[in-house]
Amino acid sequence: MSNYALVGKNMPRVDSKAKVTGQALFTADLKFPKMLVGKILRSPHPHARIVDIDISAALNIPGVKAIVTGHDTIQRKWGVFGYTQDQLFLPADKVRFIGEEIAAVAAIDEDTAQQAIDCIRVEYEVLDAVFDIMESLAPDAPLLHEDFPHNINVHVPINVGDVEKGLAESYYVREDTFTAVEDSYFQGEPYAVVARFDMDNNLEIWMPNAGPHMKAKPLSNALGIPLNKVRVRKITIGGAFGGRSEIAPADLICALLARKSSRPVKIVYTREENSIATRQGHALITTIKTGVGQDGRVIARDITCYMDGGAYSSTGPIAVSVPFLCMEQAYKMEHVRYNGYRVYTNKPPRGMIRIHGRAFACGVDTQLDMIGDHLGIDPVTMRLVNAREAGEFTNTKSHVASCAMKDTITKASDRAGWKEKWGKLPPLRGIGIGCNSVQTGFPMGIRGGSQATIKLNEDGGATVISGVVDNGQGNDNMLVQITAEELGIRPEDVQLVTADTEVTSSDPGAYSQVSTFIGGHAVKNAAENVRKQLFDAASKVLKVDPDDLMARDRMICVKGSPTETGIPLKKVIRMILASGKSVSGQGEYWPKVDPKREWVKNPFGQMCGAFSFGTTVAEVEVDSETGKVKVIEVTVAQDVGFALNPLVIEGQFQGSVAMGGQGGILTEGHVWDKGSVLNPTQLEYKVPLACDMPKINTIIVESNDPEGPYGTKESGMSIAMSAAQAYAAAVSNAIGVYMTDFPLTPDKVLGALQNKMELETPNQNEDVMEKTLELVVPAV
Amino acid sequence: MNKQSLEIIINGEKYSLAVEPNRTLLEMLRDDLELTGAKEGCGEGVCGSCTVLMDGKPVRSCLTLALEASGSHVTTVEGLAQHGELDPLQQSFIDHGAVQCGFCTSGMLMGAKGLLLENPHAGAKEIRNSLSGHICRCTGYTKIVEAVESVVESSKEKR
Amino acid sequence: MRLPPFAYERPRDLYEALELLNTFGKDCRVLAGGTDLLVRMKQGLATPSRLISLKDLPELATINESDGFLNIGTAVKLADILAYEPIQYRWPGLLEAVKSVGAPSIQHFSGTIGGNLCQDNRCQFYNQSKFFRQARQTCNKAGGNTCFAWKGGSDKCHSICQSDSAPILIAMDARITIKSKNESRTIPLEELYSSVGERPLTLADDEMLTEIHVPGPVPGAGCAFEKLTYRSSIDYAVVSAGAYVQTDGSKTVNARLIIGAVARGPLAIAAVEKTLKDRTAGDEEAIDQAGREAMNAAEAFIANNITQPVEYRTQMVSVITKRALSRATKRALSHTDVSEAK
Ligand SMILES: Cc1cc2nc3c(=O)[nH]c(=O)nc-3n(C[C@H](O)[C@H](O)[C@H](O)COP(=O)(O)OP(=O)(O)OC[C@H]3O[C@@H](n4cnc5c(N)ncnc54)[C@H](O)[C@@H]3O)c2cc1C
Ligand code: FES
Ligand code: FES
Repeated sequence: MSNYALVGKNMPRVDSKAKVTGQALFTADLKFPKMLVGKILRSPHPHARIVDIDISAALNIPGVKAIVTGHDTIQRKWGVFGYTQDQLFLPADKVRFIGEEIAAVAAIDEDTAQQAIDCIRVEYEVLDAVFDIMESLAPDAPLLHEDFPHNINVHVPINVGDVEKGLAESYYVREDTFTAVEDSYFQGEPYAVVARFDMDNNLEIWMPNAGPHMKAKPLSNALGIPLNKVRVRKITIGGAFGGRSEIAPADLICALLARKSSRPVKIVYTREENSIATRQGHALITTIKTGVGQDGRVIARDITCYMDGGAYSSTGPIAVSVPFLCMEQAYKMEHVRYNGYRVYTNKPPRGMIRIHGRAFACGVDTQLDMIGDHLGIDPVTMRLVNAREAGEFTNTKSHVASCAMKDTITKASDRAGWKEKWGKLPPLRGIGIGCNSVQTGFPMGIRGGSQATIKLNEDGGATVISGVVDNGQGNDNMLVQITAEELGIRPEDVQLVTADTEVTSSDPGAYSQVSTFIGGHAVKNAAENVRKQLFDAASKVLKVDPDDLMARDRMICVKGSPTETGIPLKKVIRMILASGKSVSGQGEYWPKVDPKREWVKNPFGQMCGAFSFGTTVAEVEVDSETGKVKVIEVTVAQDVGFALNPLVIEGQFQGSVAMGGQGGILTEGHVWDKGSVLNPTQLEYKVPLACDMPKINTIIVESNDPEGPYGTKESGMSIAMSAAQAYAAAVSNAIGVYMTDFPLTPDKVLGALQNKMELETPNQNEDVMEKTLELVVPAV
Repeated sequence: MNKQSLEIIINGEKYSLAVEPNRTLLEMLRDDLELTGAKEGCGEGVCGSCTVLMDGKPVRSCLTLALEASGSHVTTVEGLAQHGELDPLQQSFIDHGAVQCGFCTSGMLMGAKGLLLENPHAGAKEIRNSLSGHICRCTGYTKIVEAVESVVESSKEKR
Repeated sequence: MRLPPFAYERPRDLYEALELLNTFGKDCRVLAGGTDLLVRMKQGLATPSRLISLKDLPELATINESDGFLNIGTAVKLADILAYEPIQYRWPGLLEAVKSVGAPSIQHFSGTIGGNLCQDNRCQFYNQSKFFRQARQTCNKAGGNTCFAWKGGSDKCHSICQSDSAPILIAMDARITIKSKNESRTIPLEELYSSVGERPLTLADDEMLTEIHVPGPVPGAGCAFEKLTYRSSIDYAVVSAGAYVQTDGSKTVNARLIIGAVARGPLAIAAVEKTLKDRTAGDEEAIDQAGREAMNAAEAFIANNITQPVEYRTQMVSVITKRALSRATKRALSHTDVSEAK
């Protein structure tokens, strides 16, 4: 059994106190002498050529200190990958979505900046625009980017085995199409950037980010300054959820304004700007054809998925691949073919969100239920038959070292009372299950690994230097917990210097659930390194083998003996310092991924070090008159590898149910009018509230991953995804109709119920149905 | 626009200020007085992250004119702790893991404080109800509700 | 988000307030809780050059009962209405409506009943930022001449009244007192609404709402408010209904139904009274018929002005109507003697 002092136990987060007292500073809270306010002029057109920008009137306004346009940039297109470079920040030639950045002003206050923005005259030549995936693929559609024919931004083809043969051999084959509109992060904190140049022309910049090093390099490129002059600083961050990972136009714009005005500049987005001008989630059309054996085992799958990518690539190739990868991790199949397309439209760029590809994930699971229905196999068995197991390889050749998927299925379904409920609930009550798997990390090239340094002071305190960033999920606490555990000190003895590109070494960021697995691992290794130095010194005094020592309660002592019999850690540190050495050490972690794996050209080989697995069971009740869904109870179980801090993990699970299931499946989705978002704020984009949330049972399953630090993998993400699937399944089960278009808002649920009733009892409900068919619009 | 004078007590401290009529209470707190604990998550009354107490009642400071607060006692999250001691709600939020990114936290705390001032024995349902004016994207609310419930419970025990 | 500049007045008595209104007319607006007005001002939808605060007018912030009426000052906070105990058993419909406004902890401590009744109409193409609106033609309500909510456009504004207290108060036959410097009049609440989207209130520029008078419950009568939303809180109505039903203990003798959030003003469904009258109170068939009538009447008005689909909202009028009528009837039947009721 584990004998840890801190890890594996509930630990209130070290960052909480600053947050409950209001001391924690977020980007918008920063204030510097002479600081200016920046505002951005945005395109009112979804697609237009910029003929002329006239800033002369704006420049004449007293208090305006700088104005930048595309002409202040090097006009080199940016992209996360070499082959997806398609976006100019501050384009000078053409705009491709409503809200795209055209110019920016820095002025002494917000009113002056806004006044200047209103005075900038832009002459446009308006172009035809396209807002729909299928229309965009049509031969006569307006082209968004010259060098991307047919508006196809990315095509990921994967073909393993012989799908045709597999389908031919199957006992039962079916094909279904699932769709979903765009969803959004709605992080608590709207985007904000503060930038300034110091006297040596170093850029200091603060913004909510999911990886400071991922921001710094493109900024250095775009500004034409060396990387060591770009200092992305640490700041409290109000949520990311898959967003905020790569450079955003506002980052560069703020830096340009600061450079041009030689003063600090702050840009704070409105809630609307955060929704329309930072990247958000994709809309999807996914067609899944699945062939199974009589026992429900999947033999072959053929999936075609179209994603609405908006105007630019962003993380395109990753976004197209991940829904597929999650599926192939979660479920076994012999043959599989995937064609994923990301398509350009004249809408704001899209990216990966916590339940990225909800139509895909919910489609796979809904179809499993449909198949089970046909074969007379219940959903739990369908999943157990197909669930991934430890030691196996995914279709694209990733080895799955640890996996407790089946455990999560049985534990969640037992706790939820599945056997007592399935098929036995009263009408309009339903229960559903969903399973998914998430990768801890992606191949990220040079930024795939993390390096950390720990230094000990003579008073026994530790300073940890690491690139790991905390977006709100608790990464700072995780680093403290690991360091304190390894060095036998208390959490309050640990200070962090993190997420600051001036001093911290490279790190992949929090983007792909890697913070603990990679960044935490590096810190653990650094701590072990330092501990070794301590043990070596202590062993000479205690006259024992270093391997027989342990660190606990700020003491170093012989294993098995009371801590008081050891020597104070402080003393050992002072001994080493007195010998002329520092007590510091480095640690690195590089995940065991296949460096040759590439998203489009070579989607084969080890994807990442480990995979998490999660199951959610949801029970719902539908109001047959309004279509409103009430969620009664949700049970979640996730294989997290090892539960580093159960308190934090539970919080992650609960937040995942809110965003993935409650919001993600029942209410959240954007409504568009051409290229305009009609619901850019939380008023009409309905994120769930306290009273909407059901009772949530959380179950932590441990599989002790051989690679993860202490066996840890990831927590929360596979719950967010499986919650979406479980919610969808439960609603379908309650109304007896398999729902295929997400989110399942009351109008859609009611529509499905009524269609079903109409089919079952023809001619009976004429009165109501007549009304639903077409609304006669009288001339008023 | 001409500034108008304003007498106000914020976190127990008396201020005589002059502000423009179009200054919101939130702007005055954050920009003029550097009390940045209250956050602007939407500016339109939707999210609740700007909530402060005005004479003991939670209000959305983004939709309150600074001048309308004249003559009032305003409490912000910075004023919750008394004499260096955290308010029981603050401690409970920490202990229950009710804080993740923390952006909604100050608003949540002030909303909860307002509720408990009015009804120190609020039940789970009332707590949920009154916190449902605050959006949290991280926690799913469970731990926040638990944190407030536990303060109610322990105040019962003390009696 | 910044507010545009304006002058701020804080009159110390009603007379001073009315005098200001008289002097500045349409250039000034009454500021009650500000939870509707200030949002619109931030979005550039309202640009009064002067705001008249009701903060220092305690005479507008009282609740009392006299001559069989519940009299609520316009500046009474929604929370104070909820806290007024008799409302719980004597005017439960009003309680339901007030509870459902915005979000419990917040709206209530700022939002006022007068502001709730006088809030502007709403539309998903209108209640948006300046940036959003700049990207398209100006609509009728914003002073232009088109309507995005009406298929094929319209020369009229098809915004909706989403006040939650209006339907139930009209159903209860509430009256309001309106004052200007030189005049005071008391009129039925329904006459406050013009049914003109561009200018939904009949108030003159120098007039102000001062008091709402709600008739006390009569034996055998009951009222109820029903509101459909997609979320538990912070949500305007998709459809709402205020119902008033009076019975003689077994038969319905009088009924009123007002639908909210579908038309340019609260929509009275006249046919309902005829349908329910003299039928057994709570008769399901009668209530079903009333639901269909409400739906038929509302259908002509429902435009694409909120995110929920028009067809769905149309159907929901019937559902919400039936729920409101059923609950009102149930209350009517259980409240045969009001003086004892508790
Ligand atoms: C996020 C959010 C959600 C909301 N949800 C709802 C909801 O669900 N249901 C609902 O009904 N409302 C809702 N509202 C709107 C608003 O908060 C309420 O209607 C509130 O009751 C308005 O009252 P107030 O005192 O704040 O009004 P104000 O904003 O002060 O006033 C509203 C309008 O009425 C005028 N006015 C006020 N008093 C008088 C008077 N005595 N005489 C003449 N004119 C007057 C003002 O000039 C202004 O034009 C919501 C608002 C927000 C921000
Ligand atoms: S900032 Fe005030 S409610 Fe969102
Ligand atoms: S803790 Fe992040 S929004 Fe609530």
